[in-house]
Amino acid sequence: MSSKKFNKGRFGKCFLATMMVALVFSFINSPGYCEEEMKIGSLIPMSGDLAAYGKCVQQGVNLAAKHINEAGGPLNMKLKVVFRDSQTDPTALRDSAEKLVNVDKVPAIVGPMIRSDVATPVTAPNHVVIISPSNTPTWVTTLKDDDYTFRTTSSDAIQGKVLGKLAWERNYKTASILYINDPYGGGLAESCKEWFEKSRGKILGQASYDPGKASYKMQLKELAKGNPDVLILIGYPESGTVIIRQALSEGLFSQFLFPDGMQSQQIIDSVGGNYLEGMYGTGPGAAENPSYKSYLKEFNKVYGANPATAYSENAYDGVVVIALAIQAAGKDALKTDPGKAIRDKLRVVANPPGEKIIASVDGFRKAFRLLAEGKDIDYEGAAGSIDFDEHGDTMTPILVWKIEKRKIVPVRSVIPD
Amino acid sequence: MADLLVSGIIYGSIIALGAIGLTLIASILNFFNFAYGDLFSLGAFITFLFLDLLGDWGAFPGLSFGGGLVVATLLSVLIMLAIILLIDRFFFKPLREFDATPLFMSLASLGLAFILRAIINIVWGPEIRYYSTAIQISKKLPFGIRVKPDELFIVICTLALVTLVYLILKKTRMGKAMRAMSDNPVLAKASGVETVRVIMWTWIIAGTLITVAGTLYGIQVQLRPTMGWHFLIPLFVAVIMGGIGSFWGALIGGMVIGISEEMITAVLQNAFHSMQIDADMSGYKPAVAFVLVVLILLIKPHGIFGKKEH
Repeated sequence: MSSKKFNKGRFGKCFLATMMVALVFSFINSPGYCEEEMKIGSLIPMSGDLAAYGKCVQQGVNLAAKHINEAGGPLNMKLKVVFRDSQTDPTALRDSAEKLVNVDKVPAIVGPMIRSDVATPVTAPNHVVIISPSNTPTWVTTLKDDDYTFRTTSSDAIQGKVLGKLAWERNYKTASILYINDPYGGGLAESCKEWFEKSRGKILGQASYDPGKASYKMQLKELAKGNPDVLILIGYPESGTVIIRQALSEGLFSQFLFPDGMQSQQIIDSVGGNYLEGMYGTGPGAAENPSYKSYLKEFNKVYGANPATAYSENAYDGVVVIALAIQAAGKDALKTDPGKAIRDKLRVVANPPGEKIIASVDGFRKAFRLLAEGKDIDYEGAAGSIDFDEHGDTMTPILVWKIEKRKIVPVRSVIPD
Repeated sequence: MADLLVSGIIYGSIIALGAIGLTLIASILNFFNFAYGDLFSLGAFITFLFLDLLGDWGAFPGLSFGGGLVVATLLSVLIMLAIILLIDRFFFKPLREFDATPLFMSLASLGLAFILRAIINIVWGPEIRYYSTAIQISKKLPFGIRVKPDELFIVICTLALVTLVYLILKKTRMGKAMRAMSDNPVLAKASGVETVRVIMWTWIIAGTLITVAGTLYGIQVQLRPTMGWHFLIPLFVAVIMGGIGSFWGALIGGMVIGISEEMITAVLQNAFHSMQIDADMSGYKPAVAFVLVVLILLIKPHGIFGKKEH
């Protein structure tokens, strides 16, 4: 095959034009006037399987940044959130994390929604704090992260317990579990199985699935053997709805039980008819506290509706505790090692003792004042009381929900013991 | 097992539709079109757009969709052909005139794939969609087979289109010219084949097939922006397995991939069960296609129907 040489003149012109465009954009991005900015990152899936969650979590993050800035901002700086898309894909996640660390140079990140293990190679060695709103697997607790990894949601060890017990409570004597082939699915399936069996239930089958496939008939047929009372479907809405629809149209299952990953209006909207009416599930519990009420009110005011998926309040809390920790750390500590400074103050602002802070603009104003005066505070989050233990884990309530009139309605909150 | 075989044939027929188009492009335009998967998604989404615009036309008896979807698909095919021909005119044609190597063309199409997916994401958002959210209860047939009327429609539609393409390739002057181009481009040009028209018709056939395949996938599974990107793997495996440029190879390759993905893990699972070994094979489903293509290429390096290089 013959090949012509690159036309150097044309190539040069193209290059020049690209540079001009880049130059113009760099002007647009730079702040027009001198207001000091504090950048933090947010690493959430805006596309792929978890996109619906990502969208809602982003709303939570933006709402938090808005409130923090209305309260004056940490150390009187404007809090700015840089978003990077993790695409619900481990490779893209790692790539985006590296960009946040090396290009955007943020000291703290809200996210990722899943796979906090990016901490070990990327964020922790660079002294960047990550606070995941939703990474529930049990292994996150023991991650090698030099204490740079936090989460504002409970471990799946707790959700699995509630889910397994709920299955028995709902009078299911036998069950099959279909879980997504990732650390979240595997971990939750194990702990759910353990607690269902402890409640004298019997697991007839357990299988994993890969997302994005056209058909899950093979797994469903395998799991339907022995006619279990219920299919416990541990996964995410995108492929989850394909599975539900196939199970229904093949007549293999009619009863389902869902964890947090499926707590989305999308599964109801995508499955026509009233097939899912009366099904139960678990998810991150809304704390029945003033912070959550204030959060809901403000969320409605700004977005005109309740959060469409779970975890937006957890993300909100993540942004807030970072901002409060920045205020507590002070400018000098931020200059030398901002990530470490934030890490060291997170427990100070989130855990007792100290004056309780409610999630609201007034609350944050008060918090900034108290911290400036050198006093101790204890942030009570919208997702729970947000007290980090020595692993960076929190205990947030677990919600039991059910589907009623094609909507997800809360049944009760279980406070883990 | 018979049930899984049938479900494999249904999935396989959608793969085959796509694979035939892809194999034509690969052999006549001489590059692997990585944007083909995202054209698949775009076709499905444009059908969705027209379906939305046309409003409710009711459904055919037994099926989950009606005339609205048929008309929407036809309109979608027209729009997609316009888009594809424009892309060729302003993107691939300059590259061809540049004498870009097949590798360069393939990489350029990969870039195009990202652009198309981003456009789908911007226009329709990341949410999953369905042409109809109604659930069809499948009909019970002998041997434990269960099929939905929609699935029957998918297979019939595929058969009709495949026959049509076969007739075009076999009986028309253009078809003969296309086969000549694919067999030996230099000789074809020398014997007076009009390259430009052959390329245009290749895009038209491939574009029609991929739009319909995308829509059928939307009926059977769901619409999501990444649907085509994930679909690209079985498509490529089918084309490579069948032999690049082979009509029958693409058809049979597609069927083999569809059926084996459905059945092999189940067969293995049953084998393990009968040996009293407790293992979950379902996680290995995505590996099936790759193992298969490696095996076939080891035995027949040019694919099942592939011809040796000239």
